[in-house]
Amino acid sequence: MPEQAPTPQAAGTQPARAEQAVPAPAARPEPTKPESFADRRRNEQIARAGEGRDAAWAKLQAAETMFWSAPEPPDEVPSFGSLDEPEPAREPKVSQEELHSRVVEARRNYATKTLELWRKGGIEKLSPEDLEILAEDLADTAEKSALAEMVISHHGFKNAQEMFRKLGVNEVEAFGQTFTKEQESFLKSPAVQEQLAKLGLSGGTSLATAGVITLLGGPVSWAAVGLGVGGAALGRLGGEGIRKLMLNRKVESKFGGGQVKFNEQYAREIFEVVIQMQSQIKEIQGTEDKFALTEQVLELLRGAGSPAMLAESHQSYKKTERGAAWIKAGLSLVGAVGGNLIGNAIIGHFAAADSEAAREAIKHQIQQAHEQGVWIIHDASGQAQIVAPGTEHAHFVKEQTDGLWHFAIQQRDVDAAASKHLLDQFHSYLSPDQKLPVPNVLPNHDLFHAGVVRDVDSAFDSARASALQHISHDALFAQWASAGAVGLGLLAAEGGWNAGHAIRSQAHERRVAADDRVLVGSIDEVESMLTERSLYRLADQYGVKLPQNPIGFRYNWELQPHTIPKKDFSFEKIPTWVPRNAVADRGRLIEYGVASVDVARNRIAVVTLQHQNNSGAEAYVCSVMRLDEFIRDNKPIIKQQGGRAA
Amino acid sequence: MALPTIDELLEGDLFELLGISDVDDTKKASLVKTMTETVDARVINRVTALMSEEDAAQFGQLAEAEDQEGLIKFLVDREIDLPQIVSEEAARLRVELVELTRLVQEK
Repeated sequence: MPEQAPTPQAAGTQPARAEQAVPAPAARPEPTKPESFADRRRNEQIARAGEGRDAAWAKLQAAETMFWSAPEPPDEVPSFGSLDEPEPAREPKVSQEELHSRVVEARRNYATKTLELWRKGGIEKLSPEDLEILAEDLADTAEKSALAEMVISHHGFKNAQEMFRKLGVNEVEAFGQTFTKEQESFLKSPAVQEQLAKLGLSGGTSLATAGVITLLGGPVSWAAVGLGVGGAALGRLGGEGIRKLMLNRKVESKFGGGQVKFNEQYAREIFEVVIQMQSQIKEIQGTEDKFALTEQVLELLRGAGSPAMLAESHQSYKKTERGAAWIKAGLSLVGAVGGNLIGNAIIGHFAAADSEAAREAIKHQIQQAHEQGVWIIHDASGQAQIVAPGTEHAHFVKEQTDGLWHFAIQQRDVDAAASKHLLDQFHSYLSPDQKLPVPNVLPNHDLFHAGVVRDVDSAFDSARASALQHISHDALFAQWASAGAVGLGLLAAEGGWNAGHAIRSQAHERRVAADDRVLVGSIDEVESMLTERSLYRLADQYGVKLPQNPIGFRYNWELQPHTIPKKDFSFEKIPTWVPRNAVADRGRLIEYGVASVDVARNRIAVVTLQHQNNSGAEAYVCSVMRLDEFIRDNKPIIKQQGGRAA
Repeated sequence: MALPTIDELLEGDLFELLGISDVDDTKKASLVKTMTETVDARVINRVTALMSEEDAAQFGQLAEAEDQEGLIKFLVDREIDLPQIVSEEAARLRVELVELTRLVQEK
């Protein structure tokens, strides 16, 4: 631990303890070596770190103050007890120096833990002080700061949590969880739930597709369909893995050189902007001149949305996501098709296995195996079975009662599935050195290949190669047709799911925008809100309520200009306004009947009764005015009830 | 669909909301200019983020040539709703400016 000396900032918040002989424990560590460029940069960062760091230090100091202010044990004569009363248990007296060292140690542990947590996230190239500041700032302000939300929203993330999740960067708070909790949290995470939902849908669609193929007479193995679904899921998970790899790729660090992970650097860049803005806000606080303040805030915002440092990473991130989406879709399809095909091959449902070519080929393979020293074993039912005692895998070929040769290969976890006794027994059967009599009963079907399957990939390859070799062209075509249909079904399901997901996401984003004050809505909404607010203020200023829509009458704004026949409108039942300068006893009083009010668009439709001299007909002539002007120029002639216009 | 200008979107009651409606017009114009440039930069960022690198380069060439019709056709062909993006960014800046200014004042 380097020798500590208070920095001005730390000293400013330090509780007064001048009478204590020990050095101030809340002092920040000062570098002991000559100030290098990195040191200078670090110190600048320390100096401009936002209130998050201050809050974290304040917590530490508060805890420390409690330590220091704890009452000393009373200085009394110690009791040694008596024969009747045993000596009371006493807490060992702790010296000031020891207390201080404990506090220092606690703080060091805190810092070490923080650093360790960040290192788990892979940001290893940062200096300890950088990490400390960053971690404190993230933990204390990321989720709460409107400023952070604002900056993060510019990058297409709802909030810091979503940013961490999508970028695959661990959260600071999550580091404190136990391994089990992390696992639980992973299983409950939206990403996993999303995959499970997709898998369920894929399974349903795959089964439906397989059903259709069956009805049409195609060769479908249900087990193979299951593997097809599994293959699709694996493909998707593989795609997700590739996405993670892409996000975790190494890039040149912009913070001190070296190689760092792209996602972590991008996350850090975003938070660097937040921290810088926090620092700038602190600087402009206290500016009395509102115009100057506005100018400074605007300058600050100018840098928030499009800082040069972030533009490159942001573009790169978007590109990564686009690429990963294509890879995911591709792997899903390949996984579905491949899984189905391999499934059919492995399970052994060869539609054309009774073809003469397949039969001969299998016989040939058996012969080859026999020449290499295979054991020919008869099981209890008397069927011939051949075991190839290779070091990597075993083949199992069986002639069924229908006269067809069936080929199968299986892999099992031998150690978990079989007892050692049976395993040894089986090894003895397979060993070429053991001249045991050929048993006429296979010890255990589950152990048939036990202990010798080491290379699963080669076993699969072998199975597939054998399958492809022996399946007739027709059967192969049918297999591919079946697998392709299942794959296309999965792809359709995937596409449908993605479309639904996109719609849900869009709706969610809209809600988020409204909720989180990030307002990504249309300008109309903002204008309406502002217009409505200013109109209510204007009405208050003139001592009136906003005109209200008449009950039971629906005005047609599209018909302009127009008149309303007298029979269709009851002037007596509607709110009526007159000019402010009108004098009732002089001449004719103009009365405006309110036909409709549109506060959001600042307009009002009013009617005036007009009499046609020639025909004697009467009708209401409609006109549309600006609502604010109408309020300024007119007043209601009856007392209005409050409330908003419909 | 008519393209709203950024000026039109940014004017209105904004100065009143910021409590600076009594400042002179020169200062107001200066603020509007900065706002316009900010929204402009954000819109370009968003639009280019929706394009491939080749498209972004072509978009840049059209913008430099000030080929208004070509730009509109280019964006329409790629289903990029520029008026919507401009509206969103202008509205966003207005809201951010008002809220952040109040946040600073309240602190």
